[in-house]
Amino acid sequence: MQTSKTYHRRTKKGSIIKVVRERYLRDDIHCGKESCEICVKVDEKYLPKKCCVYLQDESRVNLSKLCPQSHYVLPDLDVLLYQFDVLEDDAFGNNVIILKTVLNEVRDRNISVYAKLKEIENHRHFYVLVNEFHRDLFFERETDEKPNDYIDRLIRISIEWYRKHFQSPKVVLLTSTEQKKKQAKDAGLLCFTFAEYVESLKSSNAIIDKVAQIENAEINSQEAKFLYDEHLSLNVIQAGIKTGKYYQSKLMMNRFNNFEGYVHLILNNEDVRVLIKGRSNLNRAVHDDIVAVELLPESEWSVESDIIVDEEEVENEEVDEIVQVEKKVDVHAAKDEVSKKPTAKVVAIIKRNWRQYCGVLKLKSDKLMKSMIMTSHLFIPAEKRIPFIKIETRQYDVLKGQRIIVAIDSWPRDSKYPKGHYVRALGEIGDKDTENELLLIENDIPHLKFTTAVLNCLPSNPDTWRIPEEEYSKRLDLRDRCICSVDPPGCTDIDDALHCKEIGNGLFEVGVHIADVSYFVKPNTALDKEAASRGTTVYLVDNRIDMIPTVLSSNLCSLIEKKERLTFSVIWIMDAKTAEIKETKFAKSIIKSRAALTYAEAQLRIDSPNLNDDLTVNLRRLNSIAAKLKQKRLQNGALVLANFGELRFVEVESETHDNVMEIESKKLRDTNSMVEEFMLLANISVAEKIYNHFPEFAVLRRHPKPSASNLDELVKAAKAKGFEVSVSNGKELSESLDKAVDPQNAFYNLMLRMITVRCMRKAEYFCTGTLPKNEESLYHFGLAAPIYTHFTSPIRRYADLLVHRQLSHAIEASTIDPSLLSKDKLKKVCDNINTRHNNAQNANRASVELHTLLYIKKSGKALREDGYILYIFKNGIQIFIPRLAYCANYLFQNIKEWDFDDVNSTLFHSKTNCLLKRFDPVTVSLEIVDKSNEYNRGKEKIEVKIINPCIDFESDEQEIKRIKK
Amino acid sequence: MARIELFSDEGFRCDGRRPHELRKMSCRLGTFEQADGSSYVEMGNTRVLATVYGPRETKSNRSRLLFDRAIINCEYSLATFSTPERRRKPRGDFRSIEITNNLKEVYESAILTELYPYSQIDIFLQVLQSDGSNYSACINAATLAIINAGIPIKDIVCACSAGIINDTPMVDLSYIEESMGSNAMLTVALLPKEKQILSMESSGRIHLEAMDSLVDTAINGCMDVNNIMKGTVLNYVME
Repeated sequence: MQTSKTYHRRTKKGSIIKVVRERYLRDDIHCGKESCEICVKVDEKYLPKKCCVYLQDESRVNLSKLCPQSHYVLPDLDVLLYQFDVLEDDAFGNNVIILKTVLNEVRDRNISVYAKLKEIENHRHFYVLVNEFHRDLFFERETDEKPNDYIDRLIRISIEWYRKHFQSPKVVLLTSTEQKKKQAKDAGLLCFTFAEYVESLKSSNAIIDKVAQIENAEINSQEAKFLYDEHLSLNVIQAGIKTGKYYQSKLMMNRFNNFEGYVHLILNNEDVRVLIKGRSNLNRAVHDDIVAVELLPESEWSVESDIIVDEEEVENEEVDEIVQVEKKVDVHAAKDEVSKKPTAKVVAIIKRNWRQYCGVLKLKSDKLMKSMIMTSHLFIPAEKRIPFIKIETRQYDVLKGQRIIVAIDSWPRDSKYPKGHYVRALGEIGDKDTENELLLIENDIPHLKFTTAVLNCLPSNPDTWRIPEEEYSKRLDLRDRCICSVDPPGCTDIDDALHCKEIGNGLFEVGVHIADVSYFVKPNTALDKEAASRGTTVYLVDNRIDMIPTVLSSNLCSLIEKKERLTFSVIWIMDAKTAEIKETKFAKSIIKSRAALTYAEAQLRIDSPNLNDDLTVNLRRLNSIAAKLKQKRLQNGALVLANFGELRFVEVESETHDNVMEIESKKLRDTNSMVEEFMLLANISVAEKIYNHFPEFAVLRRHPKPSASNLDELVKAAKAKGFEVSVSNGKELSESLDKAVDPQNAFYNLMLRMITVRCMRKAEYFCTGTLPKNEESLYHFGLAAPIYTHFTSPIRRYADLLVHRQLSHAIEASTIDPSLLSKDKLKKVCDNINTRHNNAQNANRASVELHTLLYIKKSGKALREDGYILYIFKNGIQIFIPRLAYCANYLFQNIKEWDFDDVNSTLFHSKTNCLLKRFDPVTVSLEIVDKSNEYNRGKEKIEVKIINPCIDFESDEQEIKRIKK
Repeated sequence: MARIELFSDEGFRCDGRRPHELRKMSCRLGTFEQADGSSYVEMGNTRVLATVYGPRETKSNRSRLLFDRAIINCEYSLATFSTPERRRKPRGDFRSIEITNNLKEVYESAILTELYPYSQIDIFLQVLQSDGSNYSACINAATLAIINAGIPIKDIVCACSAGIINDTPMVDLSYIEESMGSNAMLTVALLPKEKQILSMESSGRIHLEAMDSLVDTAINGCMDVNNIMKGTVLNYVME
């Protein structure tokens, strides 16, 4: 037992409860220096696994000019909170002491800094000194002492103690302000301000720009001219929210218009989308912030703008853009008095959700740069919903052509733009790798390499790995079955395989075999945590970001041809004629795949009458059953939805150029739907099983039925061509969609289905215990399945892994981890997977778009494509180009000449007698315009011109001539 | 008010202990002259007073007396002023009755009751201040009082609680850890020489795989408690 002092602290909680808490002050807390003679290291078995890091004996020698000898640094609270980007940089050096009291404060104020700190503390030798339980370092706060002063006092005490404790290395205090430095100097301590210390570092160039500018609000406030209203204090807001004067919500900015955002409020028990318009009403709120808003009086209500505010436009009118844009909006507002929407203004910001943003520096004219040295620059984020950010940098010449990452520090009242600092550069604009990384970062996709802790969870030598002996006895041996896998070409993570065997009496034994990833990924290991946080494998056009390391995804788990692999099987006994399921069985198994086929190969086998080997016969049987299953499913009202972007960019190796890209559209074969049908069936069977076994905890996937109002858009679109779409239930919807075929327009049906997809809510994972128990909450609308889950792709989806574990317990093949029996934990995991899933889709879409751009660029000239009008806005149209699976926005330059008809959504140009209707065919020319010189968010952009009907006649006279010819 | 970190990454609990450390424990014997045996035990801020009367004959419930051994009568009460919020009644709630019955069973098997047929032993426990792990503090206090009364007992029965917080088993939970941890808690009463478990009481849900380590932790805690109690008894005897 350690000697310990008992110490009582009394605090009063809200009411009249007196809390007495003990605090044991100890004398065995290590100072942190690796080879300290006085301190005794605590036996590692009493420590949590993560924490065994000490400070190196020789540290930061010759790193700083201010303090060339060996020293440790100890940052104060503000430095840690606001300058973390600098500390995080390797150039700042290792060996930093952090007081526990300060660390706790950081955790309470900014959880994301805390999380990042926790991540780097081990390899960077950040030592946390637990001063609050140290006999010599802990003192009670005095009655009239402010919290911040108290923390500063504790810091000074610690430094003083360190000075007495060891002679070398010295401990240097880093403070945020001169004032605090003076205070410390008076006490005789070694102390520098953070800015001067960073400047004195050898490698300061790299990180000096990252030093955040903490505004001293009090000094500035007297003379400055304010652009924004003051935010109300938290007390006022809390009281206001209680009385219903203010509302709390998350601000979402309009993707097309940077001066318009909205919040979702509950007004009169209804979920209302409330507008917030203009810079002063937004009052320094940034996309994703949690804000407090106040509703404006009805007279000031306004209408949601139908216009797309183009970036370039904003740029030109930079000086008084607010006025301009607002005016424009007013023109429209006057027209539709009726459709005014509730409007609000932001009165305070409850929680900032600033992250780091990617983008480019705004270019300045060279003349200006030569005449004087300017360090203040404007940063243009790639995400259009984020305002420009003002940053200080001396590396303008280096950074101007690069994609950079910037963090926001503050947004003072007198500054039009938020202030921030430079974090790091990604690389050249337009470079494919840079752009790829950009879209990964913007979509918040973890794409770093797997850490050693994760890789340690894998079998040490994958090439010699064999299935352990005991597994043969535990598992069902299916090595004699004729099993094969069917996948797209080039697929290395094969997670499903099929077989079909005749067992007499007109019955088939049909099996779906899924890679048993749960055998390798055990719960609560580093590997499992990493996979859970990644949630899904992300597929980009030319890249794949794995959820689990490649060793597993492409080798040990992948069901490679002619190799024995561990699987989880679903086996049905089916009627050969009706495809009716007689019996369902689940088992852990071992298989040996006969062949890994591509869709085309499988199709070829089925179609060639001369082939009659086992494999082919199997495939034919499977195919015929699948056809019956599909028919049944469609009868139940499953929707066949257009999958937008069924295109592949295939890189063709060429000797003359780097890589040439070709577009190849995916061909749908019977075998595609064959595999799909069996996967659906397996998922449904598994869902039923785990739901019966864990009515409260099953992880399922649902797709809610869209409300009729959401489908209005679809009904309208169908009416434009004279079709009726019934939306009362899935079956009718599906049937009426099938009927809506325009013989003159081959893509009409496809476009209609695309609109349907946009109208519907997304399918989501959920834990059954978190939703009310009824059929509706389990229903999967798109598949018309009463219950559904994901089981068949554990290599690339974490949800499947969870389902595997649950199923494994349900069939009593393994014990279950407690985290799978907690609603709260499962809900968290499901929420994360859902977000990751969405992000992955967005990233995929962005990647396709990037490659479309590269494709057009490579072609070297303007492309002429046929397209169709998908949407009509007041000042522009959206054009769908089937060959590229690309939706292009087109804005009219002279919008006043066009008359917009809201009811039929048509645009009419009176001068040329040109009428634009929805779904009309148009011919467009696509060209890459490099606008990075003028501006543009650093992107080369696809410029769209409409050739037929002749809209761009002024700008494109040559084209017209060509058409006339 | 800032969130309380029950177990920090640096390996400290919210009151500065490490997971395997008990709170400061101190005990006294013979605090009352009136009773046959008495003791006072402090485990951190949990304070318990125990008094033992007997073995004696009683007139009131003669019918319950047994011909081959003594009967044990227990009474546990949690003083109205012992908790942060004032309690209405010191006895009679579900938890008190449960503890009373458990105590009775523990001492029926620990005391050599067959030496005293037709007699009764009364054990009274009064919690003066409650700060978690009341049950284990009561067992420790009762054992000391029984020793003080000179009643023959198999061994120094000692008890300790253990719980799992952030996947780490820890001993001697305080009130905050009990209430905020929302996890399983286990109390073990032990005959330390043979390491024989006399009673094991648990609440909350726990995974089977974690059970073994939790029991081991609690037993280690009991051994620590036992050392302290032994020291106290020796000191008392020396005086």
